[in-house]
Amino acid sequence: MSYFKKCINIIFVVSNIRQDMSVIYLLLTLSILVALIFFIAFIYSVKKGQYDDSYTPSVRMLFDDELIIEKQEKSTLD
Amino acid sequence: MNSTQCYHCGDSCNDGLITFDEKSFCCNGCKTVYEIFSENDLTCYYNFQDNPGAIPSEIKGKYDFLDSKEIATKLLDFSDVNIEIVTLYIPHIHCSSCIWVLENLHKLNEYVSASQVDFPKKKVRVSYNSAKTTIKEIVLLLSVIGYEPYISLEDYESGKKAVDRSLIYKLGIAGFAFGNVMFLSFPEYFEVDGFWIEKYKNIFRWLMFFFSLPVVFYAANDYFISAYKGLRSKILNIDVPIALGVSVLFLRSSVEIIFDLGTGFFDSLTGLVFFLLLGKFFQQKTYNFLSFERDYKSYFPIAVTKITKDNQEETVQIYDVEKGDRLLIRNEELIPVDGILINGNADIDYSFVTGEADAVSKKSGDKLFAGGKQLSGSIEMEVLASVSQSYLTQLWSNDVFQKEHKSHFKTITDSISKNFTIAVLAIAIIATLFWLFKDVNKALNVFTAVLIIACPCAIALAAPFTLGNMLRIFGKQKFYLKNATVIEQLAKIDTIIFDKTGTLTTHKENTISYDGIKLNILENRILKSALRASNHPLSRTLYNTFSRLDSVPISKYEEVVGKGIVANYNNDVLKLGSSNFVLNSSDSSNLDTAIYISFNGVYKGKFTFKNSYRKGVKALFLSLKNRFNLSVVSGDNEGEKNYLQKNLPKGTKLLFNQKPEDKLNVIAQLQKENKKVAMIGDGLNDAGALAQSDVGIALSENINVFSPACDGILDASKFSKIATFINASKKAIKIIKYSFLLSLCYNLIGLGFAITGNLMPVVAAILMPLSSISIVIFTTISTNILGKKIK
Repeated sequence: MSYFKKCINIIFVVSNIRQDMSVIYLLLTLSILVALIFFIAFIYSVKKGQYDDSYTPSVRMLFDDELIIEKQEKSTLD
Repeated sequence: MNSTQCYHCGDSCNDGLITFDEKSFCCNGCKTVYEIFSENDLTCYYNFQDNPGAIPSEIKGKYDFLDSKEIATKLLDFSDVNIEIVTLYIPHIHCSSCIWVLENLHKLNEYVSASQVDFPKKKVRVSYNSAKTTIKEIVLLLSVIGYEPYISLEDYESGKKAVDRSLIYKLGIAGFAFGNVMFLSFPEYFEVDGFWIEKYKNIFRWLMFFFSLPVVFYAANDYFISAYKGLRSKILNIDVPIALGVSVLFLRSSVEIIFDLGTGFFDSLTGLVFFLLLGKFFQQKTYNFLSFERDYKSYFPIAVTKITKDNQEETVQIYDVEKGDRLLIRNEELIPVDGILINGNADIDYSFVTGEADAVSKKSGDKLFAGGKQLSGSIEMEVLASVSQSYLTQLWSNDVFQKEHKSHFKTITDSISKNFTIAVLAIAIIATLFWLFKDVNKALNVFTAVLIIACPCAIALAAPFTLGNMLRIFGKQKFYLKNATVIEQLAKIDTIIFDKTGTLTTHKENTISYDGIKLNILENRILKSALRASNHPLSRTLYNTFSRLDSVPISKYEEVVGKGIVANYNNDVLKLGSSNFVLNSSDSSNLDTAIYISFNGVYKGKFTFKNSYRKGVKALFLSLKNRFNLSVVSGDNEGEKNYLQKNLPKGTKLLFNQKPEDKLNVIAQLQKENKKVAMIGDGLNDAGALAQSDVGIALSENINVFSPACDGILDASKFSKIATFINASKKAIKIIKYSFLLSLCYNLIGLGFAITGNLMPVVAAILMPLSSISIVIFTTISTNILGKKIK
């Protein structure tokens, strides 16, 4: 949370330095920044091969619920 | 039959039910797997799916070659001091239970650190501690629990294939840029003369410019490359007007924002590239679990057992096998090279090669051809030729397998793009000339506007979406095509060539005919009881025909592997098997597989096995005969000629005794006569013909089993639908033509704006997606209607 507050502070400081700078610049920067974060996340996930097999994970995620006992065993084994 | 199902594999437990832990099993193998699972708390395996397992097969000595470091390292994806990773292809993977148990391998072998299943590809990736366990132990473990990996020569050769993900990257970049540019251009769509927009428009415009840079220079680069290649070989393909459109869009937009003339067309530019890539992506339907590029290497084992001069067994890599070597071929192993049988009972199944299911018996001294599978016990053979020199494998040195001869196919889109490009350029020039006289300032504006609006986005999308959707529809009907172009080629076919054995006939059903002295009921009963004890495939088939008879207790039973059976009941002695065994002479008059019967030394008669023809062969030929030239090309002798002549329509060409190369040449000859030939075959001996033909379709009884390199794989149960599939392809081409008309209408409307010099960015930004989306909707709906009719 404090990190978030710091960010807000910095943004206010930056926007106070140039009084004539409209909020539109701030919004544009933020929106593009957010878009870029998602874009980089996408590229990263493709690169890691997350799109290579789109079926198995959908089955795999259903296993965990029924196998709580097995899960504990696994953690001791590893 | 109301029999108990095996808890593990689901087979009926007819012979020898085993009860264990209050569950019934069909054989010891299944029981063992269950035991392994229950000891390790893995019985959840049976909760996800009923009877998920497979009977583990015999593997003694089969994987000894994995002891060789050199061979093993070739199979590994990764190896470090203590860790090794291997990806194994396991054909049995078919349900969620499989995923679950394979991902819990670490419970069965504690040195496995992780295993991950790729279900669509039927592969499992195992990482393990190489200091404590070996790849051989992993493979054996998998085999024991019924998940025997398939390791072939192909795995040995091919390095790690890099996955090409560039299309996904490009699509992602184009989509990202398209969304942002759309959002940035909204203010100018609506507040054309506000004070606010005057102040901020530059920043919006330059942001759009930067967003469009990766789209033009990365995402769209395929179109530029393809257009350049097309122009160099003097073909105006569809990528030429697209590349022209993209570059004009980019240049004009850049000029507009640099000189503050307008807002540019960045929205249309990014949208155009995004939609085009989307079409490409949609067309790229791949069947991960199938391979269309197989050659003999995916059938052949990596290594065989060689018998050295001092009678030691030694594992050698297949390519190191030389003429004169002595090889040991175990039960169920493939013969990798041509050779001569030295000793042992050879019962060779050549179904991989010819599609003929019944095993052929060989005596010592007989020649064995590569590609056959030994069925009864181990044999020893002497090598006559190395792998690449063998009769079957020589086929792959043919030119057909070397060059990409199909890449020159002119698609329907390419064939109209030439006229289209010329027309667009002509309109652009005429309109420019007109404006040069009327209003010079507008001339350049009009010229670029025409090129922008005529950019054939909708035309370029029509074929990918129609064909991509057809691919999916065919796929649901178990007709799997390599790519979308195959549909276009299929629509142009005028000659169809069928292989006989395994294609027109099926080895799932045999017609058994008996000729000789009629057997009485007791004799039949004795025969049935003798057959019951035998595991030979022919015995099993024959046994099934006696289902209504009671059996009798047999006093003495002896099976001579590869020859026949002797059985006693009271005072009767039954002998059945090959003619050599029963009659002490070989019966040369008979070309078909047969079982001979004698009682108390008196010859009674023989059961002849013939592969029966598939259902619907006759109807299929009748429905095709008016529109196509039909031929049957077979590697077999002329035994069935009369039958085929009687049952197939007149005018069907019948060719027999065709070697694999002959089949290829028959097709090449027809192609010289400008025929478009489709080949429908199944075995490896059709591989050359399948590659040479315009459309090669491999028929497969079981899609997971291997089929030779081809353009399409058809499930054998859908054989009678071939005519329907060809018709549907033709209709798909018609749909594409209608969508061309539709998109031309949009182009004409757009040209109206462009020629008069009124093209606003917002009009282009509306027209471009509108035309694209309506084409996508039109093709999707009409192909789905077409798909419903196929069912």
